[in-house]
Amino acid sequence: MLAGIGAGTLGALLGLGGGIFLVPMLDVVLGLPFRTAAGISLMTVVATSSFVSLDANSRRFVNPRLAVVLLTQTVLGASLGRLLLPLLSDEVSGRVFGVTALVVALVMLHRLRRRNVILDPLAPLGRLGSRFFDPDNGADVGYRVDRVPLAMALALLAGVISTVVGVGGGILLVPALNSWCGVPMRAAAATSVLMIGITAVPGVIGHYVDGYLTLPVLEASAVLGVLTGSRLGFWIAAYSRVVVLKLLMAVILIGVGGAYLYFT
Amino acid sequence: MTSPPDLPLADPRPPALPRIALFAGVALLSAGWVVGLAGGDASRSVVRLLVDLGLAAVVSVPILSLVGVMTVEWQRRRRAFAVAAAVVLAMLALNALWRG
Repeated sequence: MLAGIGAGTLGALLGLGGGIFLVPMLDVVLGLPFRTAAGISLMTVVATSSFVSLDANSRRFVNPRLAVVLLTQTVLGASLGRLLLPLLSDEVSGRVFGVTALVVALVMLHRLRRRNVILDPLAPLGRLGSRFFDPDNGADVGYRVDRVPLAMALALLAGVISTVVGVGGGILLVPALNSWCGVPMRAAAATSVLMIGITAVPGVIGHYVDGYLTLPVLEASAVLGVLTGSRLGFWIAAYSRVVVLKLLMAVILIGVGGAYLYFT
Repeated sequence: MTSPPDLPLADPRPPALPRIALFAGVALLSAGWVVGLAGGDASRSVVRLLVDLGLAAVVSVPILSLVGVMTVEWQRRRRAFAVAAAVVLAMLALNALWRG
């Protein structure tokens, strides 16, 4: 349950599924088979997404139109990833992910102080732009989604990588949307959580049908922990400055990317 | 402090159906967790049933949310987004069938 709380907190705070921390915890520390750990982790991703899509505080950051447009690419990417899976070795997949994560982290650090918000209430926001109350400015702000083809390509890549490497696409999608496509950090995180929850549904069904979800008490503990952690994550996010969230994201990217490069 | 009213998920009031599904999921999972910790081997099938129903309820929430986005966009004549949501639902179904 503690691991679930941690994963849920990070999920709600930064738009990550939390699987990147939960899977090693369940697999290495608790000694569960990898596929069982992955199945429980996917279940917790869906739980975090469910919370984000229904909680009044988090709903105002979600951009459903952007999510739907990007989901067409992410789900396609996940299917392409399954075709690529037999062609790529674990070593190659791990290194590609490690290098990608480090590049994204460096871009994020380079643009640490840049805010993507538009303060003018009359400024046109385009078909995919949105508006939300920004705690950093204490006012309603808007944003436009720039470079939509790039955002769609990144969503496709996130779908491929999530299947090939076995991590949620959020760890790449959130910093990429924030750094390259003009989406503010809070909106990118909330939209990403909604997206990865929807993308994870076929995976949960697959793990269930294949018989990997066989520990009901542990599954219930993890999901209830994640739901508690999601609430904690949004509470922390409300009192955190965006630059702190970005720094935390960059540190996680460097740590995870470095670990993939070192261990593969 | 409010977001534009034409963004369905930005409306602070969540739709009823996914909210009921999440509440039901949490209640069933909590019941399964308590029975699982308190009961012995005899309660194993009850725990499995409660947790399975709870997981099914939680998994239905993102799909119901996506259906909600599709419905609202269709009603507001933003057909391109409604069609995109329908395409995502179809791809998810194919993905689940392919895997299963």
